[in-house]
Amino acid sequence: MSFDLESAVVKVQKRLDDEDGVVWTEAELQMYIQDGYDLFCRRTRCLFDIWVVENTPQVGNWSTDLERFLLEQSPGKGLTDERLHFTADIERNKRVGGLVGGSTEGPTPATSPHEGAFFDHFEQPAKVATSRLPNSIVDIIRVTWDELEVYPENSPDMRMQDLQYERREGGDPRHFTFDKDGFKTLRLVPPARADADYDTVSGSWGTMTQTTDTTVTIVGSYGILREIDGAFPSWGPHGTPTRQHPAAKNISVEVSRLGRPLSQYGFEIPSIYVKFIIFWAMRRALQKNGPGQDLKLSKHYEDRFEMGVARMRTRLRKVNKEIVLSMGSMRAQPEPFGNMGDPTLPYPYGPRGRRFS
Amino acid sequence: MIPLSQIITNVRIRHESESSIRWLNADIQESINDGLDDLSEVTRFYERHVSVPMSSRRTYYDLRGFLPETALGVTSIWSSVQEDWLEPRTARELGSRWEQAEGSPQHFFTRGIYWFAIWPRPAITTGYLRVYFAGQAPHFTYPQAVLMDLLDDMVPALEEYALYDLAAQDGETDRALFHFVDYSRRSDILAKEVERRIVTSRVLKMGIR
Repeated sequence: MSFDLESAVVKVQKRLDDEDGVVWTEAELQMYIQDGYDLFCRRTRCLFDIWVVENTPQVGNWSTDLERFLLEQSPGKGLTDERLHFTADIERNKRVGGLVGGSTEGPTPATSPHEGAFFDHFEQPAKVATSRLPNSIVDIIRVTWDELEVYPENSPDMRMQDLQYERREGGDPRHFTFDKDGFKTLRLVPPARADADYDTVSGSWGTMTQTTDTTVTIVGSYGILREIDGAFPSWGPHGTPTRQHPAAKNISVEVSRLGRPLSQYGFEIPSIYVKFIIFWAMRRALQKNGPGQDLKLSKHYEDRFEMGVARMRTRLRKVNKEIVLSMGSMRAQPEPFGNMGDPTLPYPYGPRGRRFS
Repeated sequence: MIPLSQIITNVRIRHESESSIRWLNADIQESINDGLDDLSEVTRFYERHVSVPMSSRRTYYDLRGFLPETALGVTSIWSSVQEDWLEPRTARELGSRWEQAEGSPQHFFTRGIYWFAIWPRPAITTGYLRVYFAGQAPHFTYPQAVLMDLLDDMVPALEEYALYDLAAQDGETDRALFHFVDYSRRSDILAKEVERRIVTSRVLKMGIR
């Protein structure tokens, strides 16, 4: 059974014996369920994804969060990844202290993706220094550039290595920081050169249908283009691909994230785990002051939620450690003696650590 | 094999001996199915597999769209290239340049519920991966009988869960908690038993080369 917010609300109402919403309103229960969903995803880190920081000239068409919000709320308005604060490094220190002058993000030299194609022609330098990651990201697991791991650094350590690390020209990224340049903003050090080899897009709408890359072997003779060798999946399985991200010279950020908002999407976790979110909603509903309050049952549902979180966390770790050797082959064992430590010869003077008084 | 009607009758008799509230068969059946979901999740006894085509030079695979909604998580992976099981490893054990190695896949690791990666990645597109996953057992539908022999020893746990669930819906908190403690004991024992069976069979599978 496919679960969405409405069916979860019905389930909670039935369990609370309040199908008509007399004690708990539908909106209230929806809020509890969304809260439980976020909490479950945040604590178990069960939703993995790959976010791509496109290593192409950065473009931006908004500068304040209000503008971004308005663009997001307006159907048909295109939203680019970056802020448009200033267009070249030379402008960075102009109007310091003003609304946009002191920004650490950018520079953003263009407003539309197609303008990137003209950068080489006009000898316009381009680099990818920072990128704002989506709000739904819980934590970063790993960052790669050109399929090489980029190592995390604290900004103070980075400053000790290079005082001017924020001002460098493009190079091959070796480090990243995630603690300084604004909320959920990733900085690559040194910045990437904005030179990932994306396919040239002709046309402005519709799905990808073919590629001019002659090295690609085409499988099948009709339908839409589904995937290309050397590109990797990112951000969701549904729909048709509108953009393929090449792995070469590109930046991928492996993250755990929250589920998409339930007001617009169904649950992304398997339906069997939705019960834990229902338990959390029950816990919050039964805790509320009023006629339906039952603190004992509320505590029980909280315990069941915690049990679910603990079980999920254990299992996500366990699959990697389940089998460490195969019979008869003795391949590498990461922890041959578990928690017992390295083998030692018998100690001739009785058990260690015993103190005689 | 114990038919569903028998389980419903058992639950009804025990519930009505403790409470004056009466439930429909459909409600009891729903509670039993909730218990079956919980047992599937706790014990992971219901294992299935799907086949995922390998793509050349691809390390990460997103299983959304391949796995059914009833899947709980990946348990093991078999590769058709060398006709052998891939052994689990962590990304850290494979080193920082693991994505660049090419050859016949030997190891895998999972990321979250839906993703896994293989190492080394295949240079050309050949074969497929058979991904095993623990899943949610199919719900009982009236008058379908319990079809799996394995479930015979799970029936008492299912009954306890149904009693807990009905008591919680009655608003009888203490009685619900009493049944839940009983259910938890039974489900823990079953989980250990199933885990023993699975680990034994996996070690045997790994040994046959």
